[in-house]
Amino acid sequence: MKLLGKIVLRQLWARRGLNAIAAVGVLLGVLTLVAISGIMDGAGEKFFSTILQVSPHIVVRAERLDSATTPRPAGFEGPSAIAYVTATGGDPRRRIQRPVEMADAIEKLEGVVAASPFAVGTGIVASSSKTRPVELRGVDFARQDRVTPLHGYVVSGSYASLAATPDSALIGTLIAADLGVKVGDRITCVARGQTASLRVAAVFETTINAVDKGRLYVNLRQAQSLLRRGDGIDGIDGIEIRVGDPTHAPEITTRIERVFGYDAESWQQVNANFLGLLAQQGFVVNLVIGALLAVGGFGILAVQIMIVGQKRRDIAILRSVGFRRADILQIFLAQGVAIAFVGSLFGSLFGHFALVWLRTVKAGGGGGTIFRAEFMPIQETWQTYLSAAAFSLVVGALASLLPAWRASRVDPIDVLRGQL
Amino acid sequence: MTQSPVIEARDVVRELGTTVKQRVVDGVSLDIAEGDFVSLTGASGSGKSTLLYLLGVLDRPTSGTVTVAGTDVSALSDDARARFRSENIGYVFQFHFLLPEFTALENVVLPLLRRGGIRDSEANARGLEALTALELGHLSARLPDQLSGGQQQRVAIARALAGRPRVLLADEPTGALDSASGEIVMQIFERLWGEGMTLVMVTHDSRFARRAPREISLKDGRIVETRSHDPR
Ligand SMILES: Nc1ncnc2c1ncn2[C@@H]1O[C@H](COP(=O)(O)OP(=O)(O)O)[C@@H](O)[C@H]1O
Ligand SMILES: [Mg+2]
Repeated sequence: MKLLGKIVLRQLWARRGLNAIAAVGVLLGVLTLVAISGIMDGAGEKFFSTILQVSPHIVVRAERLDSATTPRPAGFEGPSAIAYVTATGGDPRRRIQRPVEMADAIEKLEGVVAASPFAVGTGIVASSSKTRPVELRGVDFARQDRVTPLHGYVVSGSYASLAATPDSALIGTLIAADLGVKVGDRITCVARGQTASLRVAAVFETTINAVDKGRLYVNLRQAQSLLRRGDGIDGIDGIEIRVGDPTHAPEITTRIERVFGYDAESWQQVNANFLGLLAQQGFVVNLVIGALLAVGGFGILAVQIMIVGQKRRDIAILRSVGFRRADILQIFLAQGVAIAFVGSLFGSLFGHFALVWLRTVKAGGGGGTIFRAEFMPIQETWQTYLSAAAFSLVVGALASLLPAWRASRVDPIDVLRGQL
Repeated sequence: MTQSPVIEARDVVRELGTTVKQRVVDGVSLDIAEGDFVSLTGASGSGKSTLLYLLGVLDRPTSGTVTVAGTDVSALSDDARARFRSENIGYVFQFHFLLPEFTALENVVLPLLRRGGIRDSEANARGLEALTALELGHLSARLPDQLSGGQQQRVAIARALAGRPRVLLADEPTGALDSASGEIVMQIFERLWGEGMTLVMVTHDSRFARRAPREISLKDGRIVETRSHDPR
């Protein structure tokens, strides 16, 4: 209502100093919320946007599921999957049958972009002076790049040259630095007692520490011989898969398990610990921010109670000239909400400025032990601002509920008598 | 005059106090006819203000009935009473009671706007008219604390009149004013009466009380004397 709005604004302005103090409480809460959300979302976004480029969205392991869940094509999976399952279905052996054909069949599933078979094992790499443990990964470099486009992360050497020579190796910058090697240098790889001499053909940098320090990529054939695997049937440990929309990976994983009968894992399952940790951290942070905003609410409550006390006379006037109890209630509720609104507006503004400034801060290690970044990764989402605004308005309304109710109960006669 | 009275009080009793009940108004019956000018007098604590609140639909009697403009107001809900007040009754209190954040004109217009059914421009015109009638037109944009006590009280009278009430109730309207300002307020009341307004004025100043044609004296919540004066 226009008239009540006018009264609200006038009264707010008349007590602007006091109201500003109350608004600052909300401001600080919102500022903290925006800044912390920006930092946490930024770190999460940075980690997962990289991980989803350099690690598969789904991994199918060469492990048959329980025979109780005998694989059966669900009917809608397309002729390719049916053909594959029909050809290999009853085989009791654990290893993946005809991995290339299976990868081809998986690629035809809806939502799947690419699939590539791999072999994996642990190994040791050594330069002339140092040794490091690594995860030895054998891949078809051309095919693998469609699943995990590592070529984009190559900082020296050439990805395309990897497939050209059987002894080429692709390593991360952290191993290269640890071993003191560069592109063109030779390294030795030891696995299951076998030794191979490899040539560093390319070095990549994902900025995810575990990846840059842990992975050694070689041609599939090379890995199979180092890990004493046969080629073809027995030489594959699984199939890595890229999907169109990573958020749908769990459903596609279930479908693959049902159709092919092999154990599969989505990136969400692989990173469950980390995701759980993030969720827990987010919960705690929300709790703290909620408490901060509640403190802001108490600021509004205190100021409103004070103002209602001082305004008893004015309330009595309004009531005696025809304003209803509900009008008075609305006036003071609106004042509390308005204070919270102004607080959240400036909190959002300052929070935004804080994030703009944080983006320019050189990150000393960024995500600590998880990733490296030159600048602190920051992610701003409208959801953060929206929830900050919504939450503060609710806090403002709740905080002014009691004072507004008390204001509406003021009896003009009591005030008039007190004045005589 | 055969018209029914604007205010009709019958055996009105008002008890106050939480532990010890005190009959502050004790069986008052009176009629206030259209165009009356009544002064209520009595010692401090005799129940003048309490009676005025009852007649003005601010308070409810413990027993008895109050009828204003033909409506039994004791039967009305709280909100209906608020609306009834804004449509029928104008108040002036001892202290001016203006909202400090609003200009003189805004203070006058606020009740009109709350009542609704009137355009802002029309309300403003009526407010300004009321202020001008009290020779305050040139001060309409001032805030209350930029006005003298007498001017503030005149703004309060303008606010009471802008709603074109059936009756104007005043509780010691001159009590907080110096004698010159008090005299101005008194002359305003006399002029309003001359124009046909119905007025009830509480006062303890016998010189002012005598200027109303009818003076009702209270003692311990009862009417002890009704006197007629020659209006000048
Ligand atoms: N809230 C109350 N509770 C009990 N007694 C009250 C209350 N308010 C006023 N009174 C008493 O009512 C009596 C009349 O008060 P009032 O109507 O203000 O008298 P007047 O206006 O004639 O001075 C006084 O004796 C006063 O003490
Ligand atoms: Mg009194």
